[in-house]
Order: sequence, then structure tokens, then C-alpha cells
Amino acid sequence: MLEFTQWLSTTSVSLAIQKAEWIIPVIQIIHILAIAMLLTAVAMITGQILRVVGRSQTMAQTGRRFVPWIWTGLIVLAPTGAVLIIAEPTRTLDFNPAFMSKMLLLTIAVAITGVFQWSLRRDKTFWESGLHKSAAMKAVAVLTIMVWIGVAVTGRWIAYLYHS
Amino acid sequence: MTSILTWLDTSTLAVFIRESTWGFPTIESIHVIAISLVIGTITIVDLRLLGIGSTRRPVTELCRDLLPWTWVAFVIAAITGGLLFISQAMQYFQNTTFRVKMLFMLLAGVNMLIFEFITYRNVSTWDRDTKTAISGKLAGAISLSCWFAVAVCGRWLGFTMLSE
Repeated sequence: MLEFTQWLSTTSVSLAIQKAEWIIPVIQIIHILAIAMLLTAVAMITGQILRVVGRSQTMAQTGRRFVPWIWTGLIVLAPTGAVLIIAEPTRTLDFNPAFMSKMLLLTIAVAITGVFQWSLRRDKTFWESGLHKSAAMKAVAVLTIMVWIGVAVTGRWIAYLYHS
Repeated sequence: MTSILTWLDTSTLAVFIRESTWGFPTIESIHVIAISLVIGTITIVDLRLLGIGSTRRPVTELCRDLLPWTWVAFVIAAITGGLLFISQAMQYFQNTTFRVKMLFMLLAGVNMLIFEFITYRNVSTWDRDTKTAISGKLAGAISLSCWFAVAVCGRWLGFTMLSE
């Protein structure tokens, strides 16, 4: 991996990003704004399962409003994240524990989002059937928001667990 | 002012945050999560005020549902932000990006007060309308711009600080 990251960091694309000092901050700003959008959407959905927000709404309504925010967020986050990796490959790809944890948590979070969306597609009233009142579903909601928060936190720690 | 900043800089808490390996990143992570939820929930309300999103929900109902959580997140962001500030009080205070960030927060606050005490008084006449009153649209647009600027300055700030 070390050879690969060293090669990547000497490619013309990587060098161009490193040379223009404003690119990394600007990309990080876009990245963090998309994180705000995504985390809030997840908080709205899980918060509704926990009955702390959106009590007047059905899950189908909340899903329609906020699931697109999650996917749109991810569509912005993936390429901006990729630029940050290409700019400083050794920072992430050389087995930075924060980055690896982030990718693991992200995979779980995306899978949970997919399952949630599938549950609504299969049956629009699925979440109103009394299921959302069960302690197990509340636990899943808490776990889901924790996983997404974990993605954001491990993401922030990439900068601190990297030793140049 | 200088003596207050110096006192903050040399306080036990500031020294701890500055010198421990996990203090600053941990507080910063909480700050990022909190500010994400502040900006995200405010954006939902602002988009409603602009007549763009959540238009099937009355403005007052949406505000009652979300803004208490905005405040919870804001208090957490303010406390963690304060802790980050004292870790290098003098340097933050003299930092232009930091000052611009505070200015935009002040503007957002003034805009909120005008909305709360003037615009909101006749909200009942356009509460359910997709096409909201012009004063409501203005409040939403100003709020969205200010918080966007706060996020931009906040992330940019990290690149302007000299590390220890």
C-alpha cells in the first residue's frame, strides 16, 4: 500500500491539488456541509422513530423528505472525499486506523439506509404498524444515528491519527 | 482584554486542551456534530420559509417541532466552541476568519430576533401557504446565507491557525 500511495501522491492530479493551496480547504468545506445535511436527515428519521421529532408526520412522509438528503449528501461526499484522498494519499490509505474505521462504519450506515428505504417501498405504513413503538426498533434507531455520528467522528480523527 | 486572553490561555483547562493528544480532537468532534445539527435543522426551517421544502407542514408546527432541538445543539456547539477558543484564546481572538465567523453568527442572531418578534407576529396569515410572506422569505434567505458563512469560516479557521 505504501508504494501505491507514494505513487499516487506523485501523480500529476495529486500534485496539482497539492500545489493549489485553496483546493483542499474548499473541498473540505463542501464535504462538511454535505455531512451537516446528511446527519440532520438521519437525525430526523431516527428522531421520529424515537418520537422526539416529526410526531405529526408519517414515516412515509419523513422518508420522502429526508432519504433523498442522505443519498444527495453521499453523492457530494464521495467525490469530495476522493479528492481529499488523492491529494494526500498517505494520510488515509496507509492504514490510518481512523480512515479504516470510517470506511467500515460507512458501509454499515449505507446498508442500514438501504434497508430502511426498502422497508418503506415494500409497505408505506410499515412504520405506523406499531412497530416503531417497540423497544427493539428504538434501539436500532439509536444504533443507526450512533453509526453515522461514528462516521463523522472517525472522519475528523483522520487528521489526528496521521503521522507524516 | 489582553490580560483576560492571557489568563484564559494559561488556565489549567486551556493547557490541558492544548497539550493532551485527545482533548482538542474530541471536543472538536462534538463541536462538528453539534454545528451540523444546528445548521441542518435551521436549513429545514429556512427552506420552509422560502417555500421550497416541507411545504405541506405549517410554518409554526415545523418551528415548534425543530427549533427546540436547534437550541439544544446550539448550546452544545457554543460550550465546545468556547473550550476550543480558550485553548488558544489569544490566537483565535486575533484571527480574522474567527472574527468574521462571530460577525455572521451575530447577524444570524439579529435576523432571528427580527423574525421572532416582528415577522412571526402575523405568521398565522401565511402559516399554511407554500408561498410565504416576503418578510418570511427574507428571514429564511438571510438565515441560510449567514449559517452557510459560519460553516465556511469555521472550516477555513482550521487552516489559518498556527499549530503549536
